[in-house]
Amino acid sequence: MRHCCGKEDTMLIDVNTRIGHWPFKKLRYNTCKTLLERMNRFGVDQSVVSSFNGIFYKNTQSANEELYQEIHASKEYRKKFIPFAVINPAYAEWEKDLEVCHKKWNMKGVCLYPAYHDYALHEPFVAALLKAAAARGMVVSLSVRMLDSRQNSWLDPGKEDTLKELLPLIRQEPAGHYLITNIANTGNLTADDIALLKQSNVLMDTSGRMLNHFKSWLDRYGAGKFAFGSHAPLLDYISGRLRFELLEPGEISAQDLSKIQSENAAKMLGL
Amino acid sequence: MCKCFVDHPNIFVDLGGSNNEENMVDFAVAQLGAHRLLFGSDNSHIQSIGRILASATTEKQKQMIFYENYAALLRKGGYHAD
Repeated sequence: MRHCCGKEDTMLIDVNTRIGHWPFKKLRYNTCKTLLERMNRFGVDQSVVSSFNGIFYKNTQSANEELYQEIHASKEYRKKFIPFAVINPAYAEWEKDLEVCHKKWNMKGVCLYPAYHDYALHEPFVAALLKAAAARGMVVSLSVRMLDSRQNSWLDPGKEDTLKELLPLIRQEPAGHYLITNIANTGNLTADDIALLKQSNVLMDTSGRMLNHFKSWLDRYGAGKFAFGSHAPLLDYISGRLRFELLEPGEISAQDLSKIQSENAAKMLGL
Repeated sequence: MCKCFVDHPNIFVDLGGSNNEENMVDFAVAQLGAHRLLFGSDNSHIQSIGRILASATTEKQKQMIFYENYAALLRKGGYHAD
């Protein structure tokens, strides 16, 4: 199957995938090889990919290096995968790690996991990281949650955020580029918050269940604020696409569909 | 949950719900067999379709889950869906 619903000639960029190990459950499709097989089966052209291991290693740079090595083992992987670093700004020498990820390993963005790395978003080192990422033109990726806490392992420290709880970061560093993924909880915002999202360099991915009534999100924010994301391999590979591919032609124009499928992501990532 | 039902062949499981973790359907197929799974949404239509399309099930198994299994149950009670 080339595409689950879309046209054969559609360009698709998935902005939300990972490889590596999740310690609380057995994963499938969590290597470059198996993720690429998934992409080829379902017609996805490129994927932003980061490492689960960076969430759980104390030194996240070891995971970033593993990711770099796995991608650079194959010319095709280098073409298909867009690597993002995992940085813990509460850990020693993160500035040097970010430098290596950006300059040496050509990573286009950085994922933050405050719940797993045990820091608060208002800490000054978070502001320093946002500033450093913005200065380098790196995208900052924030996941509202990794998994549904109702079924989480008793050892999983993951806490669920809301869209609103992440907005102070954007206010703090308005020059940054932000990718907000897996919006699974309330999207209720004040008029000021909505205005902030509209005027900032923010893309929201389509993997979160709160976007099930996607047309209402489109009406509120416009197609320029969304990008296809699957949250694979933690979530199923298809639901993130169905949210926009099942819209009727009268609900979304071909031009707006292309923005969500790939154009918005390509623009933010400088592809 | 599916593991609890392995030895109870009169229990069928619907695949509805908002949580769409990868591999849920394949796990259910491995535990119970595709013949004991029913399509359901729990009003989360996107995920309920998506998780089945994304699964490793065959086209025949998908047909069973989306339609044939429940139609067979209805037929037993005299309620023909086809």
